[in-house]
Parts: sequence; structure tokens; C-alpha cells
Amino acid sequence: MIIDKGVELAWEVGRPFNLEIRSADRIFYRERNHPEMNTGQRRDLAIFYCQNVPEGNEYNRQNLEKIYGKHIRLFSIPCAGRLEYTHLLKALEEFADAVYVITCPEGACRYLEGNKRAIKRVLRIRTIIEDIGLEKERLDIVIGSSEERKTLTAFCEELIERASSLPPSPVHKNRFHREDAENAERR
Amino acid sequence: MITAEQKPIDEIREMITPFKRILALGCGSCVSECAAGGEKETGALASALRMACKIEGKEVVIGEKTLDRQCVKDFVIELEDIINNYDAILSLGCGAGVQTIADIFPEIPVIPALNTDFLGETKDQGYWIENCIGCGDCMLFYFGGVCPLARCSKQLLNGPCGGAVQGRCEADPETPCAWQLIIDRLTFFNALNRLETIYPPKDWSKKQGRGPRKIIREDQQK
Repeated sequence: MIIDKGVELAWEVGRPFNLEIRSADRIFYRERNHPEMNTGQRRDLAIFYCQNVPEGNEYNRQNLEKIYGKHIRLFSIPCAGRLEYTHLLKALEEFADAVYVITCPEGACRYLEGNKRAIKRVLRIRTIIEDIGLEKERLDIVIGSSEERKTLTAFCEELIERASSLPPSPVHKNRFHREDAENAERR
Repeated sequence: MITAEQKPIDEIREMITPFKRILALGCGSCVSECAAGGEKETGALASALRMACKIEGKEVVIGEKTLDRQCVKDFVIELEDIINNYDAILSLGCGAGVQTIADIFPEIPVIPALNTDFLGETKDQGYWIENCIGCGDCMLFYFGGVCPLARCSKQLLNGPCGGAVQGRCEADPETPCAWQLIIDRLTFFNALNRLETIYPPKDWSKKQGRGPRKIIREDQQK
């Protein structure tokens, strides 16, 4: 069903007919034509993902960022083990309500233990953000499953849904005041 | 290498409370090697503190910079150009670094963000161990390269104590018995006769007790 709509989209934008419609295009179609499917409150997310995640290519990344606009920023990394504390903390500090790291399934890291390292780092940063008064759920790691390998698009949908249950980050109070004022002005 | 660990965030936050403009200052030397106060750790701590201030609604500026070494004046004077922009320095250097900065810039408070621990050997990734206590009178030759002062729980110079079980210390079964290691190594080098000497109690005056220890080398001076 969704693939059909994706095909329809491909025709609309004048692309040659191609049955391998990209996941991001499917979401684009759904977002535009079925806004009622967007549930919950949008939060701003930073998602760091290993390049090995299915459909984690640059085309898909750019499309997803177009679809979700400022609400999502995707950072492709050669391996989740490359992540440093500062990457995660700066994302939380600068713009994100929540930060997620997507790694390869256990045993599937091409650098052998990058995903294990990423888990340890995320756990350490969770204790730091708890110490400063943020909920630890604002930072999490998502480990792919080797049986059912989800695409980047599927991960994004899932994480957006998950983050919608979080309150806005108290770090960005000013941003919300500003947005409220802008919304009020528009009204 | 000097090893250190970051102080708890709450303690650091309490110490920086009176200040509005703080420079988080890392050190690219020993504490960087032990992942306590290098550029990455400085960035992470500064970021966490900025977030904590925002959550509390405080307007505090926290800058970040990392020197190659905080314990060498030639590197510390690099701060001259920016130091006036800050009320305080939060140093992620060891105790020596903190005091060097305080000496060179006496007009600005220097807050330690680390607890300096010991002279460490990097045993493995993320694993440092104290194998030298810097006693000022090295006796490693006599003990086959294993220091009983640093590695024996009882600091025996005339061991073993006899309490070890299967080569493990009775005080801490995680720790290999230093005297077992000493005897094994001296046996290997056929030098067990070094243990026939009775070693007198350690002369601790070479470590501490007369103020800070100093090394003065005229051939290295200007």
C-alpha cells in the first residue's frame, strides 16, 4: 500500500518510474497528504547513526532532514564507536531535546567493538546529564536487530514517536518562550 | 604519568557558583592521557556546566581552552590575552597545573576540577595502576623491578609476610603479591642473594616532611 503511494509520489515529482522507492519519499508523501498521522508533540532530535544502518546513505539523510525540517538532525558516523562525549553533550546543549545513537546489531560492527564502546559512552553521559538535572531518557542508544534490520527511516519514525513523550528540554527554555511568542504573534 | 579523576559535577558546580565568567581549562598532557582533563573532557564538562546553568536560569559564560601543559610556565602564559575576560579558571589539570596557573596569575581564582591521584602506569586501555609512589630513593634494583612500597599492601621492605594465597595478597585477593613477584623475578635473574640484606626502615625524609621537594639542575637553567 505504502509502496503504491511512493510510486505515485515518484510520478508526481517527475522521476522515472522506479519500484525501489526510497523510504524517505514514502514518509514525505505521508507527511504531506496525511498530516493527521503525525501524533504527539514534536521534539527536536539529534540522531547519530552508524553508516552501516540500512538506507543510511546521504540521499536518505538529506530527504529525512527535509521532511522533518528543524526537528531532526542526522549525523552519519563511520562507526558508533567514533562518538565522543562532546558530540552527545553539545547536541543536547545546542538544540536537541533528545539525542539518540543508532548502532549496528551486536556482533555486526565492522570494527568489531564500536557498538560496545558506544554503549559504554552513552551510559556514562547519561549519569552526567542526570547529575545536572536532565532526564536520562533524553539520551539513549538504539541497537539494531540482526534478525530484522530496520532502515534509517524506520528508526527515525520510531525515535520521533519515542521522544514525543518527553517534555521539552529545560536547557532550551528561551527557545520555547521565543516560539510561543512567535506563535502568539501569528495568531 | 600523573593520573587524575574528575570531581563530582555537584562539587564543581558548588565551587563555581559565585562566578559569572569561567574558563574551563584543560591540559593536553598526563590528564589527557588518562581521559580526565584533555580537550575532549574539557569540552564535555564545559558543555554539561553550561546546560546546568541554563536549567537553573543563571547567566554564566563558560569558555573552554586546552593548554599543552598547565604545569609549564611557557605554555600557561598563553592565557595572558584572554584571562581578563574571565572571573575564574576551572582547571582540569593536576594539582601542579592548578598551582602553576595560580602562581602566574595570582589575581584570578583557580578552581580544581580534578582530584589528582597518583603516578600511574597505563596497564591497559582505561586501566591505570600505581606502581611508583615517588619515594625519592628508588630501590627497584634490589627488588627485581617490583616496588614493594607501591605494590605490597603492607609496604614491607623485608618480605614476604607469609599471608599470600596462591600468589595473591591476603589484604586484597585482586592484587598479586608483590613479594611473590619480587622473588619470581630475582630467581629468574639468579639474583635472589639481593634479599639476604636486611633493609632498614625507609627514609621518608626524601619523600616529604621538609616542604615541597625540588629538583634544581643548573645545567638546565638559563
